[in-house]
Amino acid sequence: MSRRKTLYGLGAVIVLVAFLMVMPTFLKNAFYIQLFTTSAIMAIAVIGMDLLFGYVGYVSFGQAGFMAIGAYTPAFLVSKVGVNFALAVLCGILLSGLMAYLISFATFRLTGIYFAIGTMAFGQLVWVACYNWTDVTGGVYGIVGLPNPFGGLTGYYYFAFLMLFVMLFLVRRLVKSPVGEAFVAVRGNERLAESAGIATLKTKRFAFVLSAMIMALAGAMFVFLWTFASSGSFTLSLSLEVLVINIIGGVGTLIGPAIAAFVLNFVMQYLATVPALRLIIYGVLLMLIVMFLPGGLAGTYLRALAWIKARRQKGGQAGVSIDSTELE
Amino acid sequence: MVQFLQTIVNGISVGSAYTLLGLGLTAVYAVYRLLNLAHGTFYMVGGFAAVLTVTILNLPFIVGVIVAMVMTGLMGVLLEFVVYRQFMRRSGFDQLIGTIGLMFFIENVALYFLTSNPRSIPSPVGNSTVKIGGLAISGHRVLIIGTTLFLVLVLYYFNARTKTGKQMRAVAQDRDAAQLMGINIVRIGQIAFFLSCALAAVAGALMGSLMQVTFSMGFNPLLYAMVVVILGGLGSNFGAIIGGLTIGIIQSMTVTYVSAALSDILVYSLLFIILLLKPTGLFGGKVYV
Repeated sequence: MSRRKTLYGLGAVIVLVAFLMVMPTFLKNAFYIQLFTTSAIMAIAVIGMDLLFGYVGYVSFGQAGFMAIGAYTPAFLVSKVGVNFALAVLCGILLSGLMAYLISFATFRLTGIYFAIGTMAFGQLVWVACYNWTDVTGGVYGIVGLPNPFGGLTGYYYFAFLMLFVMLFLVRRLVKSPVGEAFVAVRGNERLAESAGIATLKTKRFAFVLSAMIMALAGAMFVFLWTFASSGSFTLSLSLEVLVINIIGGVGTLIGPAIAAFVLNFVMQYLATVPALRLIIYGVLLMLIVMFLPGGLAGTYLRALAWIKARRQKGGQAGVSIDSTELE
Repeated sequence: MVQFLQTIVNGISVGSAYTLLGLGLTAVYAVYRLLNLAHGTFYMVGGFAAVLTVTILNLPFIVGVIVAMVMTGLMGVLLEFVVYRQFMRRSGFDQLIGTIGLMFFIENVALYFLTSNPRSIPSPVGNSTVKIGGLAISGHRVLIIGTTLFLVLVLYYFNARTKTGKQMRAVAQDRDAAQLMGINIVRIGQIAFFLSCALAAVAGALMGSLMQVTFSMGFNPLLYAMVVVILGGLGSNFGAIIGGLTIGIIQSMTVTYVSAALSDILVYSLLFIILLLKPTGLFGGKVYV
C-alpha cells in the first residue's frame, strides 16, 4: 500500500519535472516564462515562511527584511565589488542567517502577537536602512543594471525551478526528521516540549535562522531576475503577501503553499490588471479561509480525503468530525 | 528654546492621534483578545466621512467629526457581526491574519471607488495661531490636543463610573466569569467596536484636516499605533496614552533636529529594546497569546 503510494508520488514528480523541463522550448512567450519563474521564487519564499510559521508556530512579520538583506548584499557585491554571482548570493544568505541569529536573542523573549510585532519592527528597520543608506543600497533609486547570471530568461527559469525543488526536498527531509518533530512539539505546547527534554529555544532559533536564509535566497533570486534592487520591493506588504499565500495554501504542509504561490500568481495575473482589485480578492479570500476553511486549501483537501475514507470504512456512518489540521 | 517647545507641542498633537488609535486597539483587544490590524482603515473611513460632510456637503467641522464617529462606529458594529464574530472560533493567529484580509479589502475598496486622489478638509480654525509667551502654536494642533484630552477624560469616566464601562472591564478581565454574572457579552463586544471605530474616526478626521485624506492614510498611523500599544502594554489604557505621547514626541524631535529616517529607526529600536527588557510592554500585565 505504502509502496504503491510512493511509486505514484514518484511518477507524479517525474511527469511534473519533465513537463517543466520541456515547457520553455515549446512556450516561446517570455511573459509566461517570467511568470513561472516569479512564481517559483515566490514559492521558495513561502516555503521559508512555512518552515517557521507552519512547523514551529511563530508568525514573523519581518520576513521581507531578510529578503532585503539577501537581495541587497549580492546586488552590492556583484555591481560594486565584482564578486561572482554564486559567492555573492551565498554571502547574502549567510549574512541574513547571522542577522536572524542575532535578533533571535531579542525576539524569542516574545511569543504570539508580540513576536509578530517584534519581527515587524526588525523588517521596518531594514527597510528604513535600505531606503536611506545611499552609499550601499542606492537609496531611493536602488541598485540598477544587475547582470543576469545565466545569460537569458530560460536559464534563469531552470535555475529557479532547480532551487525550488532542492528547497522543497531539503525542508521536507528536515521536517520529517527528529528535528522536525521537535519543531512540531514546540508548536503544540512549548512548555510540554521543554519538559520532555527538547531545547525549545535552540529549536526555535534554528528554525528562525534557516527560515531567514531561505528568505534571503528568494530575495536574491528576485533582484537578479528583475536586474534591479529597490527598497520599494521589500516592504511590510511583501511580508504580508508571503504570509497570505502561506495561509491560503495551508500552513504546515510545504507543498500546499508552494502550489498556492503558482495558482495565486497566475489567477491574479488574469483576474486583476488593477492592483486594487487584486488586493480586494486577496482580502476576501483570506477572510473566507479564516472563517470557513481552517488549514487552507491543503488542509481542506486532506480533511475531505479523511472524511471520504471514514465514510467508506464505516459504511456511511454519520458524525465524523476531524477538528485537527495536523498533517503528519 | 522656543523651537524646542514648539517641537514638543507638535509631537503631542501627532501623539494624540496615535493615542486615539491606540485606545481603540486597546478597547477591542480587551474584549476580544484580538489585535485588530484593520484598525487603520477605520481611521481612513473617518477621514473620508469628514470629507463628505465638511467639504462636499458644506456642513460645519464639528458636524463632520460627529458624522464620522457615528458612521465609522456603525460600520464597526456591522463588521463585528459579519466578520469579527466569525473569527472568534479560530486560533489567535488565524484571527490576526483574518484582520489583515479585512485591511486589504477595505483599503483597496476605498482605492477602487474613491481613487488615489488626496482630498483635504478645511480646518474650522483656519490658519490661526494661539500665542503663549513666545510660542505660536497652530490653532488646529491645539484643537487636536484639546479634543483628545476631552475624549480621554470621557473614556475614563465611562470606564470608571458607568455601568456599561464597568461591565466592559469585567469582560476584559474574564470573559466567561463576566458572562456567568449575567453580563451580555455580545452587546459589550458591539459597544467596544463602536467605541474603537469612533475613536479612530475622530483621529482620522482631525489628522486628515491637518494633512490630507487618502486611501492609504491609515497604514502608517496603524503601524505606529501598534508600536504604541505594544510599548505601553496591550490592554492598558494608560499605557496607550503614555506610549502615544512618547512616540509622537520622539518623532517630532528627531524630524526637527536630525532627520526623518532617524525617527523611524529610533521608534522601532525603542520598541525592540523595551520588549527585550519587559516583554509585556511598559504597563502590560499578563501576556495573552
